[in-house]
Amino acid sequence: MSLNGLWGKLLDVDLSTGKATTYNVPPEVYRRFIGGRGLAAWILWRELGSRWQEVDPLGPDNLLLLLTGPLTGYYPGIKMVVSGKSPQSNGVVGSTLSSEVAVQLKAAGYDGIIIRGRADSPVYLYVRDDSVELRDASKLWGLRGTELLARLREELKQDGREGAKPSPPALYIGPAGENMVRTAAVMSNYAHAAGYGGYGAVMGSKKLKAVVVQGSGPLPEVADPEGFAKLRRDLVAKLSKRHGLRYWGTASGLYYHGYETSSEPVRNWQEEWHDEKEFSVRVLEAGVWRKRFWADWGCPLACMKVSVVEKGGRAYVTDAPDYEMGAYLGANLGVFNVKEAALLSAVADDLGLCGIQTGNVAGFAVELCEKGVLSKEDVGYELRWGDADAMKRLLEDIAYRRGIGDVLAEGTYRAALRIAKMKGLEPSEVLRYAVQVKGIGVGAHGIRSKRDYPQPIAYAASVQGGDHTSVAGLPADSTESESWAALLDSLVVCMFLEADEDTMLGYLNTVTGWDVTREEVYREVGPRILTLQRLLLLLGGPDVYWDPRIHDDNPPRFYEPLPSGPYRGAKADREEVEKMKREYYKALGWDEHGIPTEETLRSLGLEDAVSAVKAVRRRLGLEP
Amino acid sequence: MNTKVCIRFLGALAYQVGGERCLELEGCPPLSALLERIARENGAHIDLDTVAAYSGGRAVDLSEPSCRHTEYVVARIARGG
Repeated sequence: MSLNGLWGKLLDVDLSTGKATTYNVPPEVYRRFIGGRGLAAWILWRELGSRWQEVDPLGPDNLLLLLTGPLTGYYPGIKMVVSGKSPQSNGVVGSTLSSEVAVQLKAAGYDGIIIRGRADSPVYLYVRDDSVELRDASKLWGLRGTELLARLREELKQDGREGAKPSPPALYIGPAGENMVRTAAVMSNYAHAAGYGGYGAVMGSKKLKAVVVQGSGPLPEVADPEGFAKLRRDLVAKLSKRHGLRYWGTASGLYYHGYETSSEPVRNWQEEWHDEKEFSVRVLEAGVWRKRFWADWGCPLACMKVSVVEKGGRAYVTDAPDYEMGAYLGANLGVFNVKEAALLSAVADDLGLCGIQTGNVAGFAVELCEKGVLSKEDVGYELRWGDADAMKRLLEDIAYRRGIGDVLAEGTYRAALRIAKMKGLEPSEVLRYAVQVKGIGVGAHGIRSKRDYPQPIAYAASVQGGDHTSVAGLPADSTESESWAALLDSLVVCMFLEADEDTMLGYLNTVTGWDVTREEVYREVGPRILTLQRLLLLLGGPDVYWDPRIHDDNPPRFYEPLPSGPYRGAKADREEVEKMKREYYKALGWDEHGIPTEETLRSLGLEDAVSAVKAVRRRLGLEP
Repeated sequence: MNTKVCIRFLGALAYQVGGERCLELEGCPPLSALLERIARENGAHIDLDTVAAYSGGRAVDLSEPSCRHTEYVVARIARGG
């Protein structure tokens, strides 16, 4: 089998030895797992599967994967997948971000990079076509995103290698990643973040400050150039008409999701409705936007907006902020001044924090103060809803693991367990305020009103926990299912540039020369990726293990009635959730607990995972 | 002649406008116009830029005349934000 649209090889860098080699991926593996997230699941299973439970996500044995997909460079826009064993879920998360590194990697002749081991001292990886260097990053360690990009630009300029671009094509971490904060993101271009999964902490654990990639070669050939050219032309024309996203970006959701759909986190999800008219994209547009259209490579939407917020004599740069950042660092913290929310977004970006996960744990902390579980003495200062200065201080404390920030840096789930222990409480007494699923804070789209896109099992049954970009849903053979999300993350394309099934698969097949059908997506490809992710999630460890009978559930808060707004009284229905979960698991070939069956493993060509499933069942007491 | 067209909505759209809606059409408006009408009647909002329609397992452009097929499936795409 030959390959089109892909190189069939990854760069394999061992930071412990300083050696770089080539990791070949057989064409049939791509056909079965596609690329990106699917390939991540395959590599992690192959490399770490037999000892998964012993692998510390923040130890040298973990792998950091930076992967593209078959549509990288061909489909409009640019995304890549960051993965590894997640320090949040202890499973596998395909965490996506926009970065020019993706197309540079392909132009350098690689489909991705595997990072192994741990460097003795801070380094950054510089890849320029065939040349691979590990360079000293001692002087870059400690720098925030903005400073880092400026220094990298200067350093590469002096080298005569780079400098024309305001931001070198780099993936990097801020102080949060260096300090192995579990809510740290892998960043790119000031404001792009792969936040879900906590891979900024994995990168920090390896003492890897940045990865800079420049490729000058052509991309791999496509199988059907004429068909591809037509599809691309039609698609770009269609996508350019997505005026809502194009003009307003996702920030348009700020007032909309709060007021119209009652699905925006407000004060740690105590509410999901608000009528704060000033908390809107119009105020951002008038007040902080400096550039309306900011696009990554080849994107016809340009949904990002460059914002500049001035505070204390300093100018902070961020995108819009987007809906998730605005919601989590605004409404969820009781901050309804969008300029303040934009500032917090910029601070989080600069520190290399995931705005969703950190906004989630910060809101959790404020509610614990409100409920008297945490005191002013525990925190060191007053934490009150809407106090943006205190929130900014809290973000920094988390990033630098100072005081209570060290506890919160463990992410909402682990912080809840630690705080319960500190206070002599039962875990459930603190976990009731933790709006997370399997270690991953829930994205800013609630389920109670049923007016937003996530279904009642969206997070409870997802292999990526609270990740709003990978939700479970019914029918299982439709774009509502997590199989479709797994496909998008494997192709790898931006979800805002998603088109209908025929277009997406047409694109895949014209680029690769394959003949993937929608039936194959929902019966084989999607379930195969999800099954492997599910298995690794259930294996878990070494510090946290999940019991699907307990943890395949919504956060307790979602079973509390909405206290305000047009959907007041609405809440998740446990019976409905259980019924939907059973149907969803059955459709994927999993048993009533969501454990893949032996028959399913064999039908998906995952026979080598049978013993691992038996191990999971034994741990759960389901077989002797 | 009147044509009966049935549209099945998937996922969260089903909660908002009902799982399946069948309409007797006078004339043959574009599918997009039907979706807007159903949304309006249910007090819901459907962003036509981010839904996909299918008939017989094939994607259908929303600008197509709705009477060209009798059954459609409509789902949201580009979800998230």
